[in-house]
Amino acid sequence: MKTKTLIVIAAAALAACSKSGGKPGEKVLVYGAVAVSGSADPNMVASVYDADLVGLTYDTLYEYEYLARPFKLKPALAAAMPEVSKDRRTYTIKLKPGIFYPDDACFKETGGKGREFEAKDFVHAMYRKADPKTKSQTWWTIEGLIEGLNGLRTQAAAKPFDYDTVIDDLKALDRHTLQFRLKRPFPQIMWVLAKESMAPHPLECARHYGEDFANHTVGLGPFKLDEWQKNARYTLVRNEKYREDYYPTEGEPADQAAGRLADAGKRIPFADKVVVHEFSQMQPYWLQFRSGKFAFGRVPGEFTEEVFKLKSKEGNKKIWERDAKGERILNPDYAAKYAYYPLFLLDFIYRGFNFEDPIVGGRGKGKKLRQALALAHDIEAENDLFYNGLNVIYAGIVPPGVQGFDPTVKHPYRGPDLERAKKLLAEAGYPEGKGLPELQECGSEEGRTVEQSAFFIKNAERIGVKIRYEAMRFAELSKKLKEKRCQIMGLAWGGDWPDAQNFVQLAYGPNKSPGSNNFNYDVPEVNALYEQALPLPPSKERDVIYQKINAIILEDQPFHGAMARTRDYLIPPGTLNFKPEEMLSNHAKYIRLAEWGDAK
Amino acid sequence: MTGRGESLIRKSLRKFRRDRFGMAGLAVVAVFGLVAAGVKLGLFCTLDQATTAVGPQFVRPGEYYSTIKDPGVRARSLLGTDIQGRDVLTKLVYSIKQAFAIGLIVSVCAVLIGVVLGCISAYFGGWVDALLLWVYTAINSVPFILWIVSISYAFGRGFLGVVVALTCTFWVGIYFNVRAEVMRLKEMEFVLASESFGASKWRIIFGDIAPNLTHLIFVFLSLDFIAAVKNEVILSFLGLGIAGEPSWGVMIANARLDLAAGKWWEVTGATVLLFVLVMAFNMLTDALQDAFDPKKVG
Amino acid sequence: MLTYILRRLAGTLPTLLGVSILVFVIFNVVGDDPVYLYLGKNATAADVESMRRELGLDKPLVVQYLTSMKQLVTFDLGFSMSAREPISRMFLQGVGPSVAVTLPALVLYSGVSIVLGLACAYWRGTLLDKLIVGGATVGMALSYVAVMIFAQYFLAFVPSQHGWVSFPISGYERGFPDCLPYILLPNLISAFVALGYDTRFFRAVAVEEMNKEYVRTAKAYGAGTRKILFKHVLKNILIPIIARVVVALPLMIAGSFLLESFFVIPGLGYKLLHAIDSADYPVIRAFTMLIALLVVVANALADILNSLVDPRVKLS
Repeated sequence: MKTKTLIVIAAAALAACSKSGGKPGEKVLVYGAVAVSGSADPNMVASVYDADLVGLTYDTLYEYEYLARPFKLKPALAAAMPEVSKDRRTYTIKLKPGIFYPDDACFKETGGKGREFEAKDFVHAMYRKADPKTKSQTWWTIEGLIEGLNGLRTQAAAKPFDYDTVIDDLKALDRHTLQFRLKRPFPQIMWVLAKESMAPHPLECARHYGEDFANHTVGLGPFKLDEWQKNARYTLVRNEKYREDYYPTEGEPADQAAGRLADAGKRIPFADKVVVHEFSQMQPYWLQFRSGKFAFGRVPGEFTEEVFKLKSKEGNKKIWERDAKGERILNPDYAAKYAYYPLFLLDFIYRGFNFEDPIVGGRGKGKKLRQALALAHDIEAENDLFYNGLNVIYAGIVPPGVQGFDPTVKHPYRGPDLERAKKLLAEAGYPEGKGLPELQECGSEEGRTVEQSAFFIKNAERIGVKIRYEAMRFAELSKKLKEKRCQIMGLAWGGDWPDAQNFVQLAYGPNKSPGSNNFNYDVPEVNALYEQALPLPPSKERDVIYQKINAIILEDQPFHGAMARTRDYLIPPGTLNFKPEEMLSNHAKYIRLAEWGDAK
Repeated sequence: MTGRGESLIRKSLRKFRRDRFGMAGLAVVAVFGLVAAGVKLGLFCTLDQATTAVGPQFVRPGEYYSTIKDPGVRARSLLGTDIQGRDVLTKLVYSIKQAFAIGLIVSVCAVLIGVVLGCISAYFGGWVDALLLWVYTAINSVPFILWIVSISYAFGRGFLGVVVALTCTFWVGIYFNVRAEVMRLKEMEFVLASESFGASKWRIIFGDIAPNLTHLIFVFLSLDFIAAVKNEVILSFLGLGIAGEPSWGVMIANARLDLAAGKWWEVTGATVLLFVLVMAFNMLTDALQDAFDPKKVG
Repeated sequence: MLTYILRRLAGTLPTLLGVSILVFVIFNVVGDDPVYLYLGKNATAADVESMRRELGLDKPLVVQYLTSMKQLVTFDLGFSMSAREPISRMFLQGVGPSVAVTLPALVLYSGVSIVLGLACAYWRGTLLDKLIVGGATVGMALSYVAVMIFAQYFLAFVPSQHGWVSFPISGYERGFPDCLPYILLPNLISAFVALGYDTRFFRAVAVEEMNKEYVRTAKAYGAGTRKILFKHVLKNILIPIIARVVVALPLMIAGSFLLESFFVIPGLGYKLLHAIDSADYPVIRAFTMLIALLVVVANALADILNSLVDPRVKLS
């Protein structure tokens, strides 16, 4: 009797769940994220998953053109592109008037009604980054660019940060005009301004919520944070006060063909509500996507063979079936349900060496050792084993996809070439590895990364070099890197903006640990060339300099590599306007589901 | 005076030999143990073999493949290969050694610590007892898994971290039982007699009392062994397990997605071997408990 | 009675003190430095120093210990650097989902295993007994991790592909009726995994009881099976049952983090796992302490309940 009742209840409950979603007629967009977000405070953006959340709830002065490739920026909160002075240091930006914040209890003066967005909000947002008390995660994005801001930070070490101070090189000229002056010309500043973490926000709200500002959004973005089950799911609802924003009218030819321009000129966002499920395990993410719960999904590498048609396999090399355009082809049961979009990431996956280490560092014996190791390794095989052969392997530090990349550059020490490797190792003074102590490699404890390092270590053993892998958690790894206590490190750098400078700076001496130059590579020629190129916008002139740097780096081998990942997105036919790109994070305002009916 | 203990053991052994399930469990454990010893001695499935690719990646069980050593040679893979083309069977067999290494080290250390501290605690009493009992209560009032995770977290990933975490947590179980047993024993005639002969305290503890703890020692060795092997899997799943060498936990953790992707052999192989070993040990423990519990012997 | 309860509760204090010292030693003396995680990718040495000062990591260990104790007593546990929430709120919000995925399982498997245990004890040595014990032994040997991976795939995903009514693959909703579908499968899994242990435990307890004089007498007088089992035996083994069930809940909550992370249920275990991943040791420390508190209180509660059931307990 009782069991029967239980079964009935259970069945009813299950049935109730299957129709879960919003109210009737509500346009709900649901998708999954493969990691969790921590903070919705623009000041605290620490990962791409934080950026995804902030990108939808806050707005920036400039934003990426959704469909344009190569990337282009357009004004968002700004009224137009900035006026730049002759010396390329002073930027004056007019802001759109009449944009209001959503109503929130933190606006005490207006009794909870959202006030108008003003230029001072941007200044205050920057002040928050400079204030050491806020422990900003994004101070590095503007550090050293605006002298006055660095000055304020230095002062704040002694006494509390004064948010009412006005500095000369970052100020509101009037309510809707902003001006800042750079220490030196830095054309990449425009990309910086488009970063989610640079979103202006009301200081009074950040103060009102204190540390809890991480869980309340008071932004100008298309959506507002409605509910957040930390580490599990967040729900966003439409921000009724969102500025007038329209679907782009221009795109690539492929966008026209894929129907991504059908909604050109329509008012966005289309969705009333966005539900993002956060996962820390891949299995539930993938199964949820496959069961049709998400508007789009990305294929975990383990499933690539299941999703795509394989023509043949030669050893570990997978030859994928490709169509006329050279794109891979989905297997029938996937082709029936999804379209596919390969996204080439601006990525720099490398294995670096501590240039200051007495054994693997320097330009003497250490250089020969690094070259020998590069020749002993087989990066093609690594790509085949761990990335289904889909990563793009390139020589040097400038990845494909940004201006300055030169596909004709050949890697002078591309392995496997064991004969040459052994010869170089002997020249370094360690014939067959004799006299060389066991080396140490630091890296993540994540399963696949450990496997990948094991492969590298096996390859090094072939010429007699012994390496011990130390797997560690991220906190421990960053500490060791900052303290220069890693000999070899397996890491990845995801581009912050689509400009070669963001990658080349990794080899600039003054950026060494605790900066982003984890290999502590510090060579006068490279430093001089980098400084020479710094004020230049992307141009032929700069490309030549960057290629010079690239050649020196390739000879010095402070790192082996590099690879850029390919991410495969699957898109069900009911999801319209989705164009994957991980440099920008506000796709949700452009996406329309077919089931919602046509856009107005 | 120790004669009493010996005859008890002989009786128990006789009873144990009659227990069919127990003997079956013992046989399986013995086979695993022999394999582990063989691996340890380097007779077969060495670390080098377990970490070197033999052929292409993800060869299915039973399929033929051309070997890396000599591409002309076609070999048949029994249990398939993993992502790097290493033989899954070799890895599984090598992992038996890993399981025994962890199981033996942890159970022996934990039992040793537990017995010594338990004896000291019960025999000396006073503040020593109070202190140890206090530590015991504190450790026992936090879920073991939390301790294990916290300690291995603090010690860092790797074999040492796993062993320290498990030992630090497991000793309390036997400690409490030994303490209770010794409390009872120390009032017994043969101990009181030894005392009256003027035997030293340590002599009494290890000469007279300890032999009577055999049943507890056996049972807890077996229990801690299983718990250690099972917890290694959970720690590996959390990314706190052994690094650099194959083990069942690492295999399950690293290949967890392969199952849903249709590459079932690695996860399944590790799960099945783990199951068989734990099952055998469970049966063995049952039999030991039945046979060696002084209340049941006779 | 009241004095007994008070005495029992006061007796938990030294235990908690011991736990707090152990936890402190593990994290503040042995564990690694969280500062680098919090500061993001381009921290300078000066930032690190000032952060260490702010977190009080530069103070002597005794002072650090006292500070952490003060936080605990006032339930002002500070702010989580990885989850960006007050730790006390994380804990309170995590309790609900955690209880939802463990309490029903606890009730389910306790009930089933008590019945099975009693049945085994009564028909001891028969085929039924052997089958149940054998099944329980097999169940005990299954790996939790494997059960979870297989169950999610075969019970939730595969049926959904065929369009059958199936369990949700993952997720959670707050509030009573809404959470029901999501907690079914996790509960079934934890009940399944725990069933083997408990059946054997209750069987052992019941077997001992069945050997007692009064049961034989009752049997001799021709009392019915049901009456013997449920009236006499069950009543007399109530104490170990209560003790085990009450104490099991907090233990289960802590142990369910694999389950919670696989089914994306924002309970205590899941939050704890994230804290472990991000080296957020104030969270791990606080959670460990609070769970210990729950266990200690549950232990005391079990003792008190026992003393209500059986006044003799108080004396021993």
